[in-house]
Amino acid sequence: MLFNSLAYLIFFPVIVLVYFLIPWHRVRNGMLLVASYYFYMRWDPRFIVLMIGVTLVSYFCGLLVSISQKEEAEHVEKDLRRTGNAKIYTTVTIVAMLLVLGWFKYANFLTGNLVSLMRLIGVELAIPKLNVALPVGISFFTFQAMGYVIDVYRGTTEVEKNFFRFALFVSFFPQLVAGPIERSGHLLQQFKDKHTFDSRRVLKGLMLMVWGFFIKMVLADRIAIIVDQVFNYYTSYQGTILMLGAGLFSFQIYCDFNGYSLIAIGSAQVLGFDLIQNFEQPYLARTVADFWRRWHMSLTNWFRDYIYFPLGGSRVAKWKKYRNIMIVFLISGLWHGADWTYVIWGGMNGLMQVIGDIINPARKKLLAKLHVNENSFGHRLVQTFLTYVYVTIAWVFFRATSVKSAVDIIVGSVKTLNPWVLFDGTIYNLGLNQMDFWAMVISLLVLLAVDILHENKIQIRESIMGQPLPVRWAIVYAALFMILIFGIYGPGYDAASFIYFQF
Amino acid sequence: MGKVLKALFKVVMFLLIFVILFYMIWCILLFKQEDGTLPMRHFYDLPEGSVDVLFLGTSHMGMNLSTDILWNKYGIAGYKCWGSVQPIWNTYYYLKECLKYQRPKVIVLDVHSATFGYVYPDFVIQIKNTIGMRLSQNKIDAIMASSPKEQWGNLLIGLPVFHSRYNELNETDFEYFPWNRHQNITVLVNQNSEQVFPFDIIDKDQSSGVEPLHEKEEKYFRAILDLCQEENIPLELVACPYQIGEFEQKRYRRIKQIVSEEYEGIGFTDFNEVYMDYDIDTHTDYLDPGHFNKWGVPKYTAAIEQVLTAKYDLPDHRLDENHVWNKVKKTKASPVYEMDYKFYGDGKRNYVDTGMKLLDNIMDSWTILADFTVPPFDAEDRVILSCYDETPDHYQGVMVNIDEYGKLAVMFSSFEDIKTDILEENSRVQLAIVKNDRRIDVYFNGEFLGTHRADNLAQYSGPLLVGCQQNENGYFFRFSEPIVYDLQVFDTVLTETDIKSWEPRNLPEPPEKEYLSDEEIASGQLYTMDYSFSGDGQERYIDTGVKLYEEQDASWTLLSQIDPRIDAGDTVYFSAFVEDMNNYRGLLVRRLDEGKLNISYGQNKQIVVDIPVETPSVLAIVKETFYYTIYLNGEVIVDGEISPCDVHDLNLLIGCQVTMEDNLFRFSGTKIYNLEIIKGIMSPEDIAAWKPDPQPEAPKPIPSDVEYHLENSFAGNGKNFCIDTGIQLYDVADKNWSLHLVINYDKTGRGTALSCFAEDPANYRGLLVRQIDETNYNLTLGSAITNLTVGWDPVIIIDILKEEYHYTVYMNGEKKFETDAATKSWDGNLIIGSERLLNGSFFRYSNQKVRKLEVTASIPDEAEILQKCSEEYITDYFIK
Repeated sequence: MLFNSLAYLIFFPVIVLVYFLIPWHRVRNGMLLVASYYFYMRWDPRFIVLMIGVTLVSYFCGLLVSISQKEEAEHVEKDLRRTGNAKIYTTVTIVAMLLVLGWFKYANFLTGNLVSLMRLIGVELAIPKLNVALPVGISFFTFQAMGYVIDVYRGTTEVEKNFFRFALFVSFFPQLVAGPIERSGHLLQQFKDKHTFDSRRVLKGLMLMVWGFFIKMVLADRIAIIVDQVFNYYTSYQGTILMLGAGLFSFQIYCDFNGYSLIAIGSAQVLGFDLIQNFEQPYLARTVADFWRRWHMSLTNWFRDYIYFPLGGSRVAKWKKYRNIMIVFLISGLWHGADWTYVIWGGMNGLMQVIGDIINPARKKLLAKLHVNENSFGHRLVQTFLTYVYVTIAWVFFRATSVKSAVDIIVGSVKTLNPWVLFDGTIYNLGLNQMDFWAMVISLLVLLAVDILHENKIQIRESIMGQPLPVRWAIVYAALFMILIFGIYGPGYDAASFIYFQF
Repeated sequence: MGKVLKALFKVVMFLLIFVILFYMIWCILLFKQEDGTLPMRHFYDLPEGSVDVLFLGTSHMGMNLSTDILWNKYGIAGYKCWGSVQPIWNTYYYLKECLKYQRPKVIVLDVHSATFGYVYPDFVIQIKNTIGMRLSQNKIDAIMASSPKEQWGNLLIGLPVFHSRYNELNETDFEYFPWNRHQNITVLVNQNSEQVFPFDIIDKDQSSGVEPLHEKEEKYFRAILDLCQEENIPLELVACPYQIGEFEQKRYRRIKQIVSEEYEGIGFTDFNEVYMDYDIDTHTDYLDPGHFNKWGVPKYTAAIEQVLTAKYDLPDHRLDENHVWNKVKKTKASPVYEMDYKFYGDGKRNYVDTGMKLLDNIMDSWTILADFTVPPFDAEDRVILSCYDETPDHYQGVMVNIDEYGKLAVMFSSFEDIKTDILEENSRVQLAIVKNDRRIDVYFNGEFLGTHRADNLAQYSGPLLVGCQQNENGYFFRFSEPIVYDLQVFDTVLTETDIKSWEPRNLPEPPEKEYLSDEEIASGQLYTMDYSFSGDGQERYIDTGVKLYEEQDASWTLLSQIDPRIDAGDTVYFSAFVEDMNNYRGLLVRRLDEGKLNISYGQNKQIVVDIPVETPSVLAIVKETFYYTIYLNGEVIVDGEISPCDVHDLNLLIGCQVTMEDNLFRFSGTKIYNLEIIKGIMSPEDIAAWKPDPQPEAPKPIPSDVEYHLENSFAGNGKNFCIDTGIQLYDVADKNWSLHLVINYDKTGRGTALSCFAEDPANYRGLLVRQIDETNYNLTLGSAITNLTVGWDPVIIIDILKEEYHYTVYMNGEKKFETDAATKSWDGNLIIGSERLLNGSFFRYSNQKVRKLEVTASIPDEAEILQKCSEEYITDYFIK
């Protein structure tokens, strides 16, 4: 089930109503678990087996790790030899999760590369392509489960003995499909608390959902029309149009992903749960490193805690630190998709952080010599713009279907100088007519304004809540109807066919 | 508890406002298709009990039947609840929904949709046949029957389907709020189309046997039959005639079988088998293979009416003032034509064109109500109203006039009329003519006078005129002198009661003719000549840029001061005239012989008048809509002649005309001292007072400098070498110059020595000096071509003298010839050794050897020329 579907619009209010009408806490969790499984099964009921499998493995491994650690503790007390079982169970979990991911997500990528590699040395391999569908949310819930067991192993979270509660942690429907990737220490505990109906919280949650729907349906899906046109037919366009397509993709993916995250966080908030923030005005970042502190924060933190720090983090020799950064970002690229384009995308992001770190002292010296105030608005603006440009170039690899097409798009966008296409009506032939195009531009300006307000620590929802009721409602109605009218949703119809009368 | 209730109240209020806003937006964005959606939505607005006959089906019902005609002609209250390509399950649910609000006396179903044979139609068909229904169980059932599961929610809510219509909203979209009522009889779709699609309907015996109906279609077809029987409402099945296929024939047979064998009292008329009985012509009455045009719709409607009235006793609701369509009709713009002012015929030019093409469709029904005086019997013409075809051997239509005995006659042809008794001259009478299909009833002073069966009436596309007639060429004639106090035309059949109760309106007097005030004359200037025009008969003209005939009924005044003396060229003063031999029209003023002025105006009208031969004349032309008044030297020479002509977009040109192919011609040597064009009509007094001084002469264009001296001798290579001197000999056509050319003679030489020539196929002109053979040079001077035979001298010395358009040519100091050759100007340079195309490229490179070339603006005398020649002989013969 997608958030922006009619089914969710029915599903969610029903769940909320039932949830708060049930007086018993345990039953509420049970209901949420059933609802989450139903939510997942609406996409493909077969994969619920996978979900339960992942849950079972991580649940029991978590338990075993906990038991082993207690044994270990006793051994330490009794000065006996350590068993090392906890490590084994943790490893089993990691391997199991990676196998699941590998099978569903990377099998074809790996075999495809193997075949290509062998062909280079003259060996023809005939490995049939696996015809498996990628289960929705697999990257998220496997990481979440894996994180839990590692946390138990590290002792940073308590083991969860209640299977159903743990199952709910793995499958909690708001963040099941596209995150945020929750941490057991944060979310699991919340399932133990009873959540009462708090109208203020519910309202705030609903507002967040509305904003999420707005940027997903009005912005992301509208921008996608132009982006798809430009990227799918990039050979037909030159210069400014390619630049526009690339530039807009940065916003499409931000609006799409952030919109989805906000709906997830808002949905959870309505039910009384607090999910971690996933985006923090990423395009106001001044460096690529800063961008990654603001972009898909739950994943970045996951990689930081479970890969970057174990590798030594930044408290190692410089070259090791850079190695660690590159490893994390190459894996991050691969996590996003099983293709070299994603690997390059990840690599570019890592590389720029390394370069940024290397040249930082020189940059600072230069600025000091030139008497440039680093905190001046102009300098910050230039930094923000350059970061956006670089991130956008990297995004081209993320969006393009092949490395070659990504390179063609980047080269094509600077090879020809044709800014007049912005004024001669060409931009209205990219899938959006004039009105839709300007609806997109205005919505983007709204998004930018909201991000700037958030950056300045202005809580918009709090401000709205502080308004008199008619103003409050007017804002909500306006947002709702903006989505209902200007959102990209529903079945398309061929307007031309209405004007023909057939037999 | 209080808090909870307060919160609950807030939630309810929030949702309530949301639902209201949602519904308003839903109403705005909802599709407003004239098929499917609107017929259903409008149905809800009808008061209970207002529909006697409910028509159901596809476009075959919706587009081919006119419930307007049923109402206007027969008073049958019928409503079409239809949709194009409407699947029969949608028809079933439309019927169920309709029966919740109305209880018709009979239901007519076009069974075309029972022959489609599909499970789900295209998505747009699903949309328009469900989306107009109110939210109800029927709508839910209709959607479930119409669409696959994944579309149910979208169709039920609607907004997901049509929310993106924000791009295409118009005024109509804001007329569908719950408080708006749409109670028109029906929505018209293409019923006035004049498109013709001829075809033949296959013979009913072309196929045999029956074809079973598709399972789903049969299920709903039977459901309709069962529902009607349950509700005890008579059902009539029809199949509209169209370009039918064999399988459809077989399915119609199956329908006939089901109806006759399993149901009682349900009629089925397959018009594909009997269409000819109803005068339906497949070669003229269709706009496409399945739908009637404006000539077919009334015929099919009449056929349906016959089927209905033969079996059912349907009341005539036209007399029921409370019936919704009577109310709606009264609030609608009916009558369709009303005269604005009283009309006073002057027997000369006054008339009114109502624009009502009454006989454009012979099946149309209408009513004319008129209140007028009987014109004098001794008047030459006594036409009051006419919509009458004057094509020879085809005299027919409707005309009201007074015959030679003083009887009022409503004429339908040369030998068909309805007459009154002898009337009194100038008596005031009222006349009503009611056309109902082919029946025409005439009422005189509120009493029935007679009826006429217009079987011979043929289509005529002319308008209804008051006070005159129109001949076969479109000219108005037989201007009469009635006074018409009121005239109204209705597109409906008015009842006798309506006619008896008609009270003519007291119309205002026609407005006085309004002349322009001085300020308006000053501000309404469309064109004023700044300088006198003096044509050269070659190229000189002025394009005023004023389009006098862009609008057919434009009014303007043209004032001109023209000189009768013409020295050169043609004799056109000014023109905005289309030279179409089939339709000469516009304005053309030109002189014929000395002292004769010819003025053509409007459509094919002209006058020839005498003008003084020595002194300028003032000519004023006033066009008031279609009427022309022309003044010459203060005297009226044309007094309000009517001459409407087809519009054209030619500018008024001074000194020439333009051909059909847009080429200028008839460049004239006319002189015009003043010309003004003013929007509107100037009074005769103002025109008489218009005696301006002649405008000054236009400053002559300044000719460019022609001084040129060839520095070194030129020897052409015949391939790619020439010299562009940079001077222009014809930038002003009548400029003066002299040219001294010395050529080293070569008997084998050929080609162009000098050129300043326009390679313009429409008008070759300029200067060319070319060697054409051993002994001959060919000279083009302006437009005159002459040969110059040379001897065997080693040099040829040519002197060309040009004074305005007069050329004198010397060779070797000896005068050879003189010629006059006026041409238009040409802005090309003088070239040595080649010629130049219009696009600027050089061609015809020659091997001529030009030893000397001098061009100067002064004109030498013979002695000077001789002197120069003798100097040439002294110098060396060889090229330096």
